[in-house]
Amino acid sequence: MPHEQIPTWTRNPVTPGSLTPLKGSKYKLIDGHLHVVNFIQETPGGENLLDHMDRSNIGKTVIFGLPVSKMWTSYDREGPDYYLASDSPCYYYAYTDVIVAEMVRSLPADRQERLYPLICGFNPTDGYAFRHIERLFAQYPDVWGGVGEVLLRHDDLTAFTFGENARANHRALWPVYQFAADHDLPVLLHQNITSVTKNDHPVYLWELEEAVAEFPRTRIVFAHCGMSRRVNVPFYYQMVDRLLAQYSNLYVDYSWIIYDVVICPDGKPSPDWVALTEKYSDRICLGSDLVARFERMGPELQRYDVFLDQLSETARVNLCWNTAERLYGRNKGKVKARPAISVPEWKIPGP
Amino acid sequence: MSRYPITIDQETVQIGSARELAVALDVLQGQYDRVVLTQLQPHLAQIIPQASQLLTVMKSLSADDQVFLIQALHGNLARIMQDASHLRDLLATLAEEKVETTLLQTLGSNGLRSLILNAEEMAEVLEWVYGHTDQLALELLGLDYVRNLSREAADLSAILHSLDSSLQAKLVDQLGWEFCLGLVRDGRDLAYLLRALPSAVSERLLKHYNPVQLTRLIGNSRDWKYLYQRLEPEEADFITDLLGLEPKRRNSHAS
Repeated sequence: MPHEQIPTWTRNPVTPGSLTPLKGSKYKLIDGHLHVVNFIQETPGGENLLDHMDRSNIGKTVIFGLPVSKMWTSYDREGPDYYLASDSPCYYYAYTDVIVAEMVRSLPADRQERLYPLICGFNPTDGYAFRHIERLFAQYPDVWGGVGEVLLRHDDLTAFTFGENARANHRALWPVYQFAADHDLPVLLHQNITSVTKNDHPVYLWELEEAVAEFPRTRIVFAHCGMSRRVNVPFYYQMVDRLLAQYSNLYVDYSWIIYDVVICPDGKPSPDWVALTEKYSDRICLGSDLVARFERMGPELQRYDVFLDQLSETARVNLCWNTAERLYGRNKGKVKARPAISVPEWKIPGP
Repeated sequence: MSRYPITIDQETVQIGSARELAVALDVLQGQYDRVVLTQLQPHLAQIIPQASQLLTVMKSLSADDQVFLIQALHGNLARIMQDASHLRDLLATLAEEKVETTLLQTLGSNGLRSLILNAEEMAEVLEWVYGHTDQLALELLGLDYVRNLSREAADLSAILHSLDSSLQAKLVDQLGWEFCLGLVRDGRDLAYLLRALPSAVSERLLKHYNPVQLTRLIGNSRDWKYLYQRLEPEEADFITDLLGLEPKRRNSHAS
């Protein structure tokens, strides 16, 4: 997840400098993963976002706030502007969804269509979490396109956040997954596959699998395939390959450091990941996972070009556009437009 | 937002904000920092209107280019810095003395005085500069301004705390004993100053009092205890002798 002060895109003095990355990927795409507020819930705003999308060849963007806010405690002389900027805790901040909704609604209708906002501002360990989602859909019925990015297992951020540790199989999320299934909405999850020092096996993967298996009608998007900074395990592509093969309701996004660490290390596309991507391109999106740094969207997404160049036309279009459009597009207004999917009536067979 | 062009290798982009400038410097891999700054020089004050944005750009630059940027902003620098806390934050991130020196010199006396409005702010700014730059900051602010900021012993103590020890003695001498002693109204004031000064200077300060004056100043056993517990051993011995009190054993001081 979110990186702000530790950019994925870093300077490399041996590479010739060029302004080209500012213009984004050569392939028009949907950014499937963007936080439009930072950890103190500030946003440059919707016009700024669309301006940078235009400058970066990005057609549409899946956007959301940040469900937690960093506290400025009495011991912080400087206000912390990032969750790792001080030892102060983070707390769940439901208003993030209102910031996003109002940001979107302040835009002209044709520009709103280029944004797919998701709801994230709830405590995933609170049994009332689903009520927040219902309330937001009632208040802004034509805004939302799904739920996410729900922050679950997240190493330091988990430790900094007040309350019980959030996890994909927490029972408070069961009604959330059911709500999403009932209304055919995607749920984007951040769930580290393991803890920071358990790099030999994925200790938290089973939590994700329990949720995905329990809700086969819920389309769950596994953000950056469960990788985080300092979080890695062996056999990564085999693991993702197995998950996608086993759970037809599971999707993934390639964003943040998964790309630089295993998909395209040192700027060279891994043949294994190219093959995996060809196989499941209709279940994979691309994203920046930037945190309110819209001016970095171009370089962030341009770095995918070397990988996209290796794909077939079909797979490339799926990654750049079709998968995200199918997941997040055409969801606005769904909840108010139709009742939840009902279970067929049970009829006891006669004698 | 107004945007201004930069052109590198026949490729042109428009830059309108500090964040956009920082990312442009990044994608250019640091190879064109001076070229970009020079192209944007007439517009840098519009692109970087506030201190937090200046910090964003400064983090992307080498020391030489940081100096260039500061000088390019010259007349606008105090306005951009906004207040002393932003100056403090910027100084805290600068690692090169020549950049800190350029920043202070470019701000000048008037700029620094417009930012630093009380002793606490002055102390927080001085906290992030060292040696010659400490001295430069004091010279630019001027002794009269430092006196104006030092309304109580605690104010002067805060300023002294942020200086190197050689400069502490020098500043006390420059301000004059009359001024410093005038800030001491009770035992707590005395404690503030003694705590901030190296023991040699503390002794010089204490020598300005005779036992009767000192007893009257400290006033009661509670303030005496407060003062005593904040003294270094040499200072404690000195003042105990001065007051003609029974010396305590050294190890009890530390506890």
